Amino acid sequence: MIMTEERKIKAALKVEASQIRLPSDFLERVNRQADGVAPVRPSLWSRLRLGPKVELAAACLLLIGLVGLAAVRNLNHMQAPAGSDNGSGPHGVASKDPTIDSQVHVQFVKMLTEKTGWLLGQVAENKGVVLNSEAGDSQWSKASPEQLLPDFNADSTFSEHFLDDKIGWIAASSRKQGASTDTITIARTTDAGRTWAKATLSSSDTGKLFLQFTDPQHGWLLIASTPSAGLMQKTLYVTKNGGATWNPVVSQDKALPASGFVTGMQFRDSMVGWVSMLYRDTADIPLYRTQDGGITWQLEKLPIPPTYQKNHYANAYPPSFDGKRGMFLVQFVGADKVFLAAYQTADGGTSWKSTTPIAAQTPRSGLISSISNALNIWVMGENGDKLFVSNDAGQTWNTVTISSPVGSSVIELNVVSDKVGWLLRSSDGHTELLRTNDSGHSWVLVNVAVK
Amino acid sequence: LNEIDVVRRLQAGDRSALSLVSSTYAEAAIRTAFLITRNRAAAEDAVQDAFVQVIRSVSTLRDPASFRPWFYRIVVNASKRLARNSNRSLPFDFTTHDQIDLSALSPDEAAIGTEEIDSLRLAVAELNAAHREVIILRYYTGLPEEEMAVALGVPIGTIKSRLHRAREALHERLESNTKPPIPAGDGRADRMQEPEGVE
Repeated sequence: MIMTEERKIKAALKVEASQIRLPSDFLERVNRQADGVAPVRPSLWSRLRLGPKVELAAACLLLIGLVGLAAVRNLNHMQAPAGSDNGSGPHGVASKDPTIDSQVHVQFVKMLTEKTGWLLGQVAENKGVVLNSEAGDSQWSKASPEQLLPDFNADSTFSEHFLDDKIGWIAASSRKQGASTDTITIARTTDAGRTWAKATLSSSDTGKLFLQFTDPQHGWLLIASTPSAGLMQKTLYVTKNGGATWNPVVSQDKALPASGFVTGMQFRDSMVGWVSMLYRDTADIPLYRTQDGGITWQLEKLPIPPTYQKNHYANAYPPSFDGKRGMFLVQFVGADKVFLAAYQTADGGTSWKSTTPIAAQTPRSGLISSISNALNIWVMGENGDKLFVSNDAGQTWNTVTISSPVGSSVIELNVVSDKVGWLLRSSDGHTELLRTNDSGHSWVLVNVAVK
Repeated sequence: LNEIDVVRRLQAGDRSALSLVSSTYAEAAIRTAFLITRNRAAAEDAVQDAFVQVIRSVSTLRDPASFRPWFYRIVVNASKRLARNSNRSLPFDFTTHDQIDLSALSPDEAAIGTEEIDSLRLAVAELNAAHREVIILRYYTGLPEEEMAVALGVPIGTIKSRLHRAREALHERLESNTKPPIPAGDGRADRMQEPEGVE
């Protein structure tokens, strides 16, 4: 590469990097964190770090676990009984045997009830493993065949949707060394993971995936490209046979706009759905609705409270429904403060009204939240020291102070009732699953292992 | 005070020396972290974590003269960890073409022009993580190859070959990005190669 090109690269990186400045209170923050004054990633968990070999190997393998009962206990490894299910489908693999006895690094958690749910994780072996389990307090078993998702690693983009404890789908993107396109594998099970079948798609650029089904047959996969030059291409696929085949949804016009970073997708039925976005360069709330299964999309005309019409931009998050009742969250982001509001509907999303926004310091570039039904909402505060909780669809909010802050690296929040929830966070190069039984006041490590 | 003295003061527990380290490294570190994570919040967290790690671990640094690559190794590791988070939960922050601000550049650099700068930004952003890291550390952070090896925890031979492949990949990206798009109905077919899922 000749020197002038090096100079150009340096200039481009300089321009890119100039978007960020050091916070004025940076040193103060560092000192407070070092002194344990500010909410930080607790050193308690660092005692649980695995050895470097395990951490390295853990970056390589996929495991899906069906959880009988959330295992929250102590800091000792828990052992689940060996996988006991046999079965085969088009790509089914018997899941007996395993000699694996591993710590599981959870990548995703979806608890359906306090006792049952799904996990997606990595274990310390460089090969695919599937786990299944009967319900049980500390029983986690294999629920997918080996190598279910090819080349899955810690950096893979994936999305998942589970209708119940039997039926679920996982889409994951991978790119082989030297390949010019990503392969998106969409795996599906209808028997709690005993057997899986796959479909594949190809994509030249996969930044994020959003997968959702409204019933066992009808589903959508939205592929959002890596944002560049302010644009994020969005490509929608649909299946009408449970994921066996996927077809692109072709829009002659009124397609989803390229601008805007997708935060979620939610279809209410086979025709009506929403895609929510972050897009700071608009005065509107970036929530788009389709009424024809995704062929055309319109920006929702949503009322914005007067205070937030100027000097704020809005981040929208996907709606949640319980029958015709539903709600979605919006952040109004100002120069210094972030406000949180819920928009409610009683007619299936035909019309929406805003609740009164509250000041809630939450990450302005992506809310970590969970809605257990159309009423119960938990939102994680920016520093992992507070939860903003509503039990009436955002009409009123309580602030829960977390007794031992969980830190700002929370990846996912999953609430199943007004008392019980899980969170997934990143810590020192691996992930940790924590559970609360007291409405978020305290969180306990869930040590996930599989045999 | 030279850097070695500052590091020795830090090793002796003199917290006031942190401001001297910060004045030298913090701004560059947060920008390096931003280039890796492509998310402001993640970059802020990464550098804050890195400085806390410096406070806690600097006593283990045997040679104060090797502080810079040691420090960047911490920054890179923290950034990669948080970038993995970003992949799941946080969006990439980006500026649009018309928002590009060339004021950070010298007049010579600014003469390159918005369009070419934008193409390069796009090409770098499209590199895989390993290639992007070496490009960032070499061309933005300005580490020599020896220090890059320490910062990334790999042998110098690996750095050389990775840099070589990263430059090639960058060239390929630049070339493919300048090709006109394949005409296709709504402009989508050029992204997706297979129209239907295959059982």
